[in-house]
Amino acid sequence: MTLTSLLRPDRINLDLKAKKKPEALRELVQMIRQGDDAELLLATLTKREELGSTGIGKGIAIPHGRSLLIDKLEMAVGRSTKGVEYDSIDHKAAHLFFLIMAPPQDPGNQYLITLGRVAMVCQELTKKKRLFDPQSPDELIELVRSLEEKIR
Amino acid sequence: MNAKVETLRSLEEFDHILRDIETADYQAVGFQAVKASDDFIKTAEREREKLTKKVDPKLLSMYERIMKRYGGRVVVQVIREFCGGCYVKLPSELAARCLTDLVSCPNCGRFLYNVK
Repeated sequence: MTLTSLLRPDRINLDLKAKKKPEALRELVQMIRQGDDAELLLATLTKREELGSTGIGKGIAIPHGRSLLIDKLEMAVGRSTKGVEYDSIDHKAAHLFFLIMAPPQDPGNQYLITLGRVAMVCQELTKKKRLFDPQSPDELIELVRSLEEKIR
Repeated sequence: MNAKVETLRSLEEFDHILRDIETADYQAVGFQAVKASDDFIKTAEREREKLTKKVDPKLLSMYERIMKRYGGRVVVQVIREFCGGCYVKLPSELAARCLTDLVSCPNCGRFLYNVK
């Protein structure tokens, strides 16, 4: 399963309004669920963030979790030009967010494989600040596609 | 949602986190604990322990038995009067009771919850 196959233009927001982590998580979650379901997913993500930030540094955050509300792997992507206070490991603002939600059990552990792939693609994206290049969701998907081919 | 169901749901989601962070794939990403000096897995285990103290010991032992048997999906949603875990048809009265009470599936034993 490629990351590109999990990305959908309607689940990519290149202009997040959030300034802090909780608002950023809310904006991301609302791309995949609404109402009570969104609140439950937020609680799952918050619980994970309380253990340790999913901000892995260099402007990247990968909030993630498994939830009973999710039947198959789902992703949403957000970008903030100004940056979000995210308690990242390098104490710098986060600019690019890959939200990954998975069901409690998934065949072949695609969730963990996807998490690893996202981290690798993000490493490439941070080089030369390429994360700011895409001007549209389709351009971001195309960029991810090209980086995925590079790391394959 | 019933408060006991809510706690069991939290516990189950916590157990999924624990299961994942112990894998090599997960550790390779480089996530750290809140205090970078702390061991991530130990931090998670400590937090899980706090959560288990909120659960009645009998209920906790039932939960752990079901988790061991199925590996996940311990607390499941009722979908149109069917158990969301084993998909057996539930008596209407039982499905309705899941809106407010802690109820187990008569077939698989999973904890059920229902939403209006």
